[in-house]
Amino acid sequence: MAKSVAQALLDQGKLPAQHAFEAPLLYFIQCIHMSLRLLIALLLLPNLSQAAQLASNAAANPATAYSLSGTVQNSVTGEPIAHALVQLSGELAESAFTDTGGRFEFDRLNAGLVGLSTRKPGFLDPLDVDPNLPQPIVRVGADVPPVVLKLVPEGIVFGRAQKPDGEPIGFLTVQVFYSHIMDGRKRWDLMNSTQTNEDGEFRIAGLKPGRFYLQAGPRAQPTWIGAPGQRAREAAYRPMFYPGVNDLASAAPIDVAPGQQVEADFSLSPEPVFRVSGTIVGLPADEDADEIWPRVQIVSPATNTTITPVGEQPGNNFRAKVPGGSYIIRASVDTPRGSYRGEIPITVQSDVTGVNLGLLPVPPLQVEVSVQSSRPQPSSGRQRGEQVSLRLLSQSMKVPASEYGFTDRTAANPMSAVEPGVYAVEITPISGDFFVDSAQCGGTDLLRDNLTVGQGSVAPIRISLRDDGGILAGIVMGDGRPAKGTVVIVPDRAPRQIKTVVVGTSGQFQSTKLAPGDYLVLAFDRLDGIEYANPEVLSSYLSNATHVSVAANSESRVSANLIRTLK
Amino acid sequence: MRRAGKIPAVAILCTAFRQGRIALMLLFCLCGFAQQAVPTANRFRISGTVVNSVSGQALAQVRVFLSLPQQIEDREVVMTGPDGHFLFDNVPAGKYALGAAKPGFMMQAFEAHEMYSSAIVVGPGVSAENLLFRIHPAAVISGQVVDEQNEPVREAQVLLLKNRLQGGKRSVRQADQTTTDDRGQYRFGSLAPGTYFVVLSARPWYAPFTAFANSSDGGAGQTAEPNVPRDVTYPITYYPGATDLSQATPLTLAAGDHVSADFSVTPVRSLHIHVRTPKPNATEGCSVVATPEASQGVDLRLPIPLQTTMNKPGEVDVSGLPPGQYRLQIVFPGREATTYTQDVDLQSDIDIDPGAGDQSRIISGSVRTQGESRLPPGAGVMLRSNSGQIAMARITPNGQFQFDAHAEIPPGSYEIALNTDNMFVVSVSGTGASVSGRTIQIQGSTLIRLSIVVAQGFARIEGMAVSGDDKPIAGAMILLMPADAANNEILIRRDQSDSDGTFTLPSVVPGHYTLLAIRNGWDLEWMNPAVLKPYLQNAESIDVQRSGKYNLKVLVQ
Repeated sequence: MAKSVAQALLDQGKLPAQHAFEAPLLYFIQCIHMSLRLLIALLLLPNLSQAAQLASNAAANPATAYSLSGTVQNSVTGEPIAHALVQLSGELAESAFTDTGGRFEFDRLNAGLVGLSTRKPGFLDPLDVDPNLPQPIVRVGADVPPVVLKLVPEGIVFGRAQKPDGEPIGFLTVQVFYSHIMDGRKRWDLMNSTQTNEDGEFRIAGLKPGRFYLQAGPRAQPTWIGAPGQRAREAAYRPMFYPGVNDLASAAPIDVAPGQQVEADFSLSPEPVFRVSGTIVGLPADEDADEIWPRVQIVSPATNTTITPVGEQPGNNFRAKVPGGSYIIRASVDTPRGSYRGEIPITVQSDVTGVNLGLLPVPPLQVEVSVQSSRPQPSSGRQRGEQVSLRLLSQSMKVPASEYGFTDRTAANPMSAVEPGVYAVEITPISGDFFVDSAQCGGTDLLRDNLTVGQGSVAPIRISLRDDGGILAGIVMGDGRPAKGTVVIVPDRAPRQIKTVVVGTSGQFQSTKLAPGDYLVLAFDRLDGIEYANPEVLSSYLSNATHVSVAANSESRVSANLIRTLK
Repeated sequence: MRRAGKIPAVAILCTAFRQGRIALMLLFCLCGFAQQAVPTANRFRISGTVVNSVSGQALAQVRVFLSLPQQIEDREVVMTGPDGHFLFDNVPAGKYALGAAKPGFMMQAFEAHEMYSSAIVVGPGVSAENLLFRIHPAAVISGQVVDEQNEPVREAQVLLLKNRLQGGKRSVRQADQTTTDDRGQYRFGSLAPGTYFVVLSARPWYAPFTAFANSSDGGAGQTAEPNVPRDVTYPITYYPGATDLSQATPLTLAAGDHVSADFSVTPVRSLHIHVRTPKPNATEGCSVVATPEASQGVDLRLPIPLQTTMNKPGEVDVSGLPPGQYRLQIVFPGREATTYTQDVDLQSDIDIDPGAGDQSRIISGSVRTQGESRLPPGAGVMLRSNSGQIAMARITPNGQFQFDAHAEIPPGSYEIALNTDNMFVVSVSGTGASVSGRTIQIQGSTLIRLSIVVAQGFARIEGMAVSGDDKPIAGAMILLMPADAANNEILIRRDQSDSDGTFTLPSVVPGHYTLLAIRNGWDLEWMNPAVLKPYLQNAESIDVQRSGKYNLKVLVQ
């Protein structure tokens, strides 16, 4: 319901999009997050029968005589945190604030397991900083020792942008990027973005500890430069990475420790701009000109960052102002009849007029799924179609991963007009006992190589599924004992279609629906932060890898040595 | 001189219907500079000095803009020297708009008032040298918001209201909006001198995490956790701590002032609205939007996060609102979604039963053109509320229009206008709403039908503002008042006389008017008949004919 209110506000244009969903979504995500953690924690408990017994004890003796107390501390300084909210999860959704000494107490609790969480503005949940930390869980009963909960103080980056003469630069876009590893791949994400105030100041709070890169520019308002008493020229601030370089490779990272406030000042010089104007060609003539709102961007080919956002205006013409340099003008138009994209390189040394920017219709991604089944299929089951999920992962900054679903009945997904770029493709069968036998796009083997999407159409992606896969079962061993961790299974013939399996304390694991062939098996104590989908990174662990062959419709067994990455 | 020409104004209006594009359009208007060289022999100079309006000190490194009044996109820019001096030489004869900008100062047009300014005229025998261009240092309001624990409140919505004199009327309007940062601090910079109010809306940081739990029993009376308030929010607070605009302390800023306005908020129980769904056992809820309304007819564009919960089939509980006056808009989804709007003064929990009927107001009508003129494609009828909100309905080729049933058109007074440049409204009649002049008064009726007569043939009045001894007067307010101005505000035309005393009133709708020129008229509440009365005695009446062209001398009072 909360969502529908936000939607209504959104529909009325009363609420910026981030705002509308932030509060309710955050809440839901946090709820889900919390209950998932509790569930996982409960599942991972070594002695489940004991827990069950405790719970039944509580049911038999519903006295609410127990209390639970503790303190909330700053994880860096150890200082108590006053007025933090402590919440019990599970059936007893109770809350308490800490007092000025950081102490909290719950009275009249039933015996049993209870998860604890705490929050306070200016602090982060330790589990958000390190997901490998255990969720605080306490067995409520007689003589429970006080609990210590920790919160990680947020990091803050602040600074000022000014011209070399000291004049502040207001209304300058400031963006914070960070790289992180997700699903074994390194990717860049925008952490936050803001604008300097009239005094050139900016401030970004709520940062997790980590390494960040700052980019400043362009400016949301025009700028002029000129000598005193002389005619002035319009100028612009080229987006620059901290401390004042063009590309990310030579940018200085900003390392933010927990609770640290880091100052990062920019000194930027405006550069005179030249005018660039032109016409967008290639749209069908019957489109209503008033309904066409092309999005035009002028981007730097080296960094793929937008140098100048071009003011949207209806019709086929565009005008922009950019500092001298080589760029790509990129345009996209979305109409009810379809999407159009186009780009053209330009070199700007003086005013450029009459640029013809040709657009081409973007055909939706064509996917053909075929199925080779070794087993008789009930006719009703085949009606549904076998589904695959396709994930396109761009390494480029600012292009998020996109995910598409296809069945063997849908030739094309109308939502899937893919932006030009180079993508790693992950294909996962969703239904049935299928594995991906082959995936081709034109002459490209998508199980091995990247998919390059250029201007214009992409050859159909042909995916063949089979159901005579094998099973890989095994055990993870660390220091001669079964160990928990995560197993990474890398097919030789398809090094990017990697499977991961979480392994419990028994060390036992099993993975099914594997294509017949050779595999590398690695076991890690933790997987986050490890770029295992990068062959170079993986190669450094090869001495600890186990080779194994999997045959159709049969089971192979393997023992994997635990690779320790935690100190 | 009108600073923003007619064309950009209309363009901005049209883009307003495409969300979020206004800012870009404005940005575009501000860009550009002239580079064309006009190969004529007669060149003139425009020069002067830019000074701080408060200290009188000359200002260096000021960007001074010069453009033709209707082509502010094509502008020439010079930087002032250390003595604040600027010079445009080689200027062809004509009228020019002059503007200035410098960090820490307001971006201003020369002798600007509201949206008008005095153009600079140069030509044979008319020079424009040694102009004194006073620009205001920007004023700032900033402050900090703390909660009941004296800790900063993050992400509080802070609204800036301005008491302004515009269009001859004094009114309070939302001027800006921001949110507090991690230190609970906010800041409104680049403010012009004037009188402001600051309004705050926030909810406790812990509210989202405590409001939902155990909400079935209303949340109150949780003995197990006495120190966590449930189901609370912060009241909408007018600086320094009032709950209504009438009790608020105005902040009066001179140019360059820096004023602090800190808030300290304590939570109140959030009030509940029980909404009965039109279908008695509906399992679908409804979505509710509450727009806070300050006194004096000020809408606060504040998103207030609400929680709606289905108590039982047919009844929805809405919570999250502090006490106050709201316009509630309730939408019941379904194949035929129904909208219900009600103004409430919320001081305790209330029940709302919208009844079974659809409360959506249907406003429709027909447009007839006089003479042989025809409506251009895309023409529409606009309703403009007192607070400046605009609703528009397209006119079909056979002259019919109907406003979207879900458009927000609450009861009130609306002016009727067209969205086209070359046609005007001659007369309005209708049923379901009372009509006077070009204004309709919407009350309870849900069915309103209007007949609108439109025509072509705007007139144009040019002239010169002169003193008693026939000398041109620059900077005077020129005002063309129609008969029954209160119900025909849309007919009023204004200008500011340029450096040679001349003025232009384009697009005048034919009819009977009074033409006035008032020195220092910019501080008058001239829409108040009592204020204008002494000036009317010495003013001239004029009957403006269709497509008429006039050139008049007006005595400056």
